[in-house]
Amino acid sequence: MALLTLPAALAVAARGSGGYEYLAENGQTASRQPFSQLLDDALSVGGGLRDAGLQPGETVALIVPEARDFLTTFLGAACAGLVPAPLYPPVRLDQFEAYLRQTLPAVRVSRAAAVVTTTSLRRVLGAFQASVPSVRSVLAIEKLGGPALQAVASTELDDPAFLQFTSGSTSDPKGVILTHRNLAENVTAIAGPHGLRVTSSDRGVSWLPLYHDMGLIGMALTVLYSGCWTEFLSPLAFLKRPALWLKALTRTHGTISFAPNFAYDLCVRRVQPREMAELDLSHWRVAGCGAEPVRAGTLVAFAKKFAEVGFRAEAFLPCYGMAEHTLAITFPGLDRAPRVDEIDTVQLSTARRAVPPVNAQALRTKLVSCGRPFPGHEVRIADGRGHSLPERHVGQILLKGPSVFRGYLDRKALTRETLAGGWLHSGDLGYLADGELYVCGRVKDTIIVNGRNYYPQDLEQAAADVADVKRGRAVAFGTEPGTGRERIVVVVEPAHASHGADLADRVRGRIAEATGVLVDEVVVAPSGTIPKTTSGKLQRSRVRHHYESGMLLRPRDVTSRVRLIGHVVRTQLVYARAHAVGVLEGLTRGRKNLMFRRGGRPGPR
Amino acid sequence: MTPLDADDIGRDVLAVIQRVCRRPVDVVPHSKLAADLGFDSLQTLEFVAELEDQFGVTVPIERVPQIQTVGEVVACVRSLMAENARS
Repeated sequence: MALLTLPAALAVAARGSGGYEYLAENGQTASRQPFSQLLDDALSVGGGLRDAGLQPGETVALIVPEARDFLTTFLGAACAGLVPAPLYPPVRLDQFEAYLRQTLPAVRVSRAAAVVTTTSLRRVLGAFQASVPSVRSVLAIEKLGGPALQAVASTELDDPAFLQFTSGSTSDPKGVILTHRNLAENVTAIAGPHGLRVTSSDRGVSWLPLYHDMGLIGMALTVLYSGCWTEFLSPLAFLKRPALWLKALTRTHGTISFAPNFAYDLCVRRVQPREMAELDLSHWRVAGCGAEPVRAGTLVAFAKKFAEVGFRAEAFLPCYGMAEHTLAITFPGLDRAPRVDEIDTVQLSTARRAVPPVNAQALRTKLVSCGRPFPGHEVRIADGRGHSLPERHVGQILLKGPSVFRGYLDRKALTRETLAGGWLHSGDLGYLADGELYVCGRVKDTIIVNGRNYYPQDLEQAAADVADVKRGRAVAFGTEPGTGRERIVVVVEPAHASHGADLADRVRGRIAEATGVLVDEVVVAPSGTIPKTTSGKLQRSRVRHHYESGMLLRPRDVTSRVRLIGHVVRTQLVYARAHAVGVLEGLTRGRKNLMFRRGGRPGPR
Repeated sequence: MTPLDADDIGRDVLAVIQRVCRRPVDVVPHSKLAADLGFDSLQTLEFVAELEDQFGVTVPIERVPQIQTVGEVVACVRSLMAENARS
């Protein structure tokens, strides 16, 4: 199959029968935009952008909240030969100063010639024009004029298609340059015979934000290249009523939908019996799960609860990907229940080997297979010096192939380092077993104490089990305050004020129980201490920095600082007993599985 | 300030809060959803959905960020019910 640029793919899709459908917030009505209409709309927007003085090859930052506006503008920019850079829209207009502060670095890095947004946001975003030299104008899509383009721009496959800011923190954003070839290769692999085998009779459903790679590439662009219909609902509508997602799959006879692990958890917890009665998930053949660690327990609970409305565990597709690889890296085969590898936790951290538990009492970790790389793509596992490791040895996951990105915008040294030796260094740890990839954690976040590796995700999951710890607000990291021996620190936010003075002890106890790790210090910090990256992932490095500089809060937050003094429980751990004795014995429950995908944004939490 | 259990709406809002928190909590009208009750953004949206079911109203999504305290929740529900009664 010939590879197509984004505008060429739109022109082809416009001759077919598919399109986008947008569900209103009430969950009842939808507006339809067949691809033929989308092409007309995009040519009109593209003409407007040209009329505003933008030249092919220039970058435009897109800050557009609604799905229909966003996709039309994104493709309009592509049709005009521009390079769109999708950015997060503000969630709350009353906090726009904080939003501007957070978004400014990405606009600056993108060197955008214009910021394209809506009339209502333009009033707020006008400030970008004054503060970013490259920005000549801040344009409202409703106000674009001029004649529509006669045809889509004749873009080359190796020209940049768009810039992704899904990787790195808000203060130090990294612009991932993807070419039309990257996009076409990855989307073709996703939809193709070794991927989802998408046909024009498939129906997609997505609530994922479109300024996120899984929503934009995995759903919107994959179906554009495949020519089928897809329905979009708003992320907030899903988070408010998770059943809306499943009802949309029911109503449209949806066959393909992707979401991060937490979305499946949310459905298990919040879909009511009366809502169950309205569901029929028997058409759902691909329930993709990625963008954050996947827990085997979540998949089991979801499959169990929704079996009665026709959901099949074989529909699950746990997968691995990252922004620097366009999106998808490995998929398991279709129509296969998730493959779970149960391995010895201690062997994993001491010997970096994925082997069966040594005996019945051994701590065990369950990991879900993410499948195999696509044809023409390679995955290998390497040690610290770049040498390939045999199966079931844990090392860094390295990637090669046509989906690998071209580089970070204006970051030559970082690009060289990331692509050293012709392999994309994912920064993720994993191993291969029977040729399938299992992901264990991150290279840099790995905590090493006395030669043992600990994965902070494991400790954070265990901390999250403690009832009074706020959901998603536990961070684990290693720190070396000049002693040479790495200390393990866990910072948690309490779920509420009345958590009791023993919270730190309970967190430490639970972590020891679940993982066999004795944490050196547990800090109970007030709400707002733990920042999130734009990817929604906990910013371990920032919390560590705050911790090491003795300041877990922003300096201006005086009242919180006073609260902090009364609140923070810093308990130096002195356990008389030797490290593993007693802790490793008879503790076999509560192991958390980690399938980890880096670089994406796991939904608007 | 009027205590929360002075009328049916206040009592029902309290019951919804206890359900969403999944544990007993001390609630007063000026209790803040995030700071005092520990609601994260997901719980806040769950709370709004529960309120809608309980009172048969629709809380416009753009109003959600403006609701910070339990007293404001009660006031919001009251005004939405009054709008319903008028229309």
